[in-house]
Amino acid sequence: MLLETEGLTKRFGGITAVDGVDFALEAGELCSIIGPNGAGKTTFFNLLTGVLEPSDGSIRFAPSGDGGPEPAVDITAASPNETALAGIHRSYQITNLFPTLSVLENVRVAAQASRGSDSWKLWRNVADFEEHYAEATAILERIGLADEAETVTENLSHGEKRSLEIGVALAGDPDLLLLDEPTAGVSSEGVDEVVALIEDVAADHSVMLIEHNVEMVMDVSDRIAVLHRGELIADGPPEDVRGDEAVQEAYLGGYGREESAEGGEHAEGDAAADGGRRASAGGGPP
Amino acid sequence: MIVGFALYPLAYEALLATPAAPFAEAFLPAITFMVVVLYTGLFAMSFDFISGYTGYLSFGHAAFYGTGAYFVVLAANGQVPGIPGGTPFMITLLLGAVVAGLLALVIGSVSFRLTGVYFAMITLGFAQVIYELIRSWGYVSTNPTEGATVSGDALAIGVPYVDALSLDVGRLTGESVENLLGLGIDLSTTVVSYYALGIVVVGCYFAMQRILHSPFGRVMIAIRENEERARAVGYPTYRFKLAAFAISGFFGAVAGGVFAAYSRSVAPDGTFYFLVTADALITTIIGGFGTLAGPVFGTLFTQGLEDVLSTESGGVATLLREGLPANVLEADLFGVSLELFVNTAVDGRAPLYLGIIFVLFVLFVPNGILGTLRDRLGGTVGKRLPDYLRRYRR
Repeated sequence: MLLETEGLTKRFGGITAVDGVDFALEAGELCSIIGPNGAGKTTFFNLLTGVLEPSDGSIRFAPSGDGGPEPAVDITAASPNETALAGIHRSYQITNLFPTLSVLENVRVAAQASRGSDSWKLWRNVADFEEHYAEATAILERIGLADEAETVTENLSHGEKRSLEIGVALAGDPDLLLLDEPTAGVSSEGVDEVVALIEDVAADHSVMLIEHNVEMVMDVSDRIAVLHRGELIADGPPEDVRGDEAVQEAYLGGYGREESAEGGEHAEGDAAADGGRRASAGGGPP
Repeated sequence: MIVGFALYPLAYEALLATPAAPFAEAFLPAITFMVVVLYTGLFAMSFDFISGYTGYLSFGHAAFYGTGAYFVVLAANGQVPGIPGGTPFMITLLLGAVVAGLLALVIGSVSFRLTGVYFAMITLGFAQVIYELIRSWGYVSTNPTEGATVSGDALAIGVPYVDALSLDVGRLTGESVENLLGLGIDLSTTVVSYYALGIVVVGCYFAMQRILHSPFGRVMIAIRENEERARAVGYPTYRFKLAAFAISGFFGAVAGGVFAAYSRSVAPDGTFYFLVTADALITTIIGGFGTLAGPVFGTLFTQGLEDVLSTESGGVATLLREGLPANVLEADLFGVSLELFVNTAVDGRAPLYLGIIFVLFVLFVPNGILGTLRDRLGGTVGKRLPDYLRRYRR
């Protein structure tokens, strides 16, 4: 087991955004998390990375899988920088980069973080650390931005920023990569490139992917977990999940019912869950 | 830049010997003003170090300046427990800076739990509390509101305990050098102080520059750009901010200590008061946030303006009064004589014009002098200037 959560719960006031989720991920898997808006997907990521502290439950992480050389650690109360150093890195639904730095520096500074005490060497010039640059350059080649290395990040196109999001997450040498809607806002032609990048990255990383594009999810995932109102309602291979009745209900019937009987209450829950997500993802509408 | 600063006194003296002297006196800052540029410039750099590079506005920065200044003065008077009266200035300067660094750790450990305007306000609060404390602390001197004065010998910059390698500083108490290295150049006390302080300031500049170009400096910039992401890629940002704040406080205190050594007296209003920080903020904005050297340009700019508009050493008002014929001075301008106009609207009115210029800078040159210059050149001046010169040489 690479990652394991037990009864993971997050409440915002009276609203439960993530509700008793028992989830486990094997090393090397690509598991997608799907669910309607406000299902608690991003909140789930925020709990795993320590941005939010769980109200209840626990998270355990074994960086090299079960029986590996590194022991499993409890990261329930870990801070974001601690989970990052433990090996969990993420990309963001809303682009969250270092806007005025060069593309190369974005990745380089992330690579530097995972190299222990290098960042505290006040007296050494940053150019002396060639290995940081080498790693960053290799990652830029992998995500197809090698030609843009010196470009100021805020001048990139939206699609390029989405790739760089993944690049910055990769720079920390993650054991587990959490990708939060990597295709959000990407044009239909651009999606194929992002999907290719995800498949490439998944070949040598364990990946959890939040995605709304269900067709794409069915294609790339080894496994799909479905969240609905914070609860894990289905978890299994894509074909099983596709036929699952509870999932159909959540995606189709759920919406129908929401508009009639319990519409008010549900909409409120969505808004609150979204609010939590916005606060953590740096503002802007999802 | 540094060469320019080094040659300035000589050029200034040389100009005063030429027929252009009245204009040089009027429009170029005197050496006494340049000394002020040095220590306020260093203080502004230390302010820029934390505020311009991590994005946390340290509105209480005067606390560190004051700590350095008071420490040096009290140590010189033998009032700091454990430090005998005659301890060399270079050692007390360093100790004072360390004390300020520790103070920054204390203030920072509370303040960095907040961000944005709240951080600025809480650091300001700390500084004002210390200001009030110092103002009424009888131990400092018999009249603490007026501050304290160095009672002993002049303070020397150089290698401690080696007289030949030290220079006394101070406007009245400093050393003068006659016949420098047998070159026939005489340096007045002010010029000697200028060079001695200049060495300290340049040393601090290079030290800060080195830190900003290190991996640590890159983390500071990453925090400024996007602190959330900096945490997400694995930096314990709180610790980095705290360390950067301590370093900034250290150099702020060096500036204060150098000021104290030169002026030989410190007052709460000139050190711990929040307007001291405001001056640093203004010069940093005019010079360019996040450029380190920019604040020195900004200080040069504001101090130069002040010198030109005051009568302490030449200045426009003196030039006009002495240079214009009497009938012009008495000429009627909308019912006011020109002389009266000069006296009221030019003489000593630097803050008024500085205010106007500051507003214009914020509106039209938000990146400041150096920031805009770097944008235009596409890199730092040192790196890009040779290319440009080569282009013009062809």
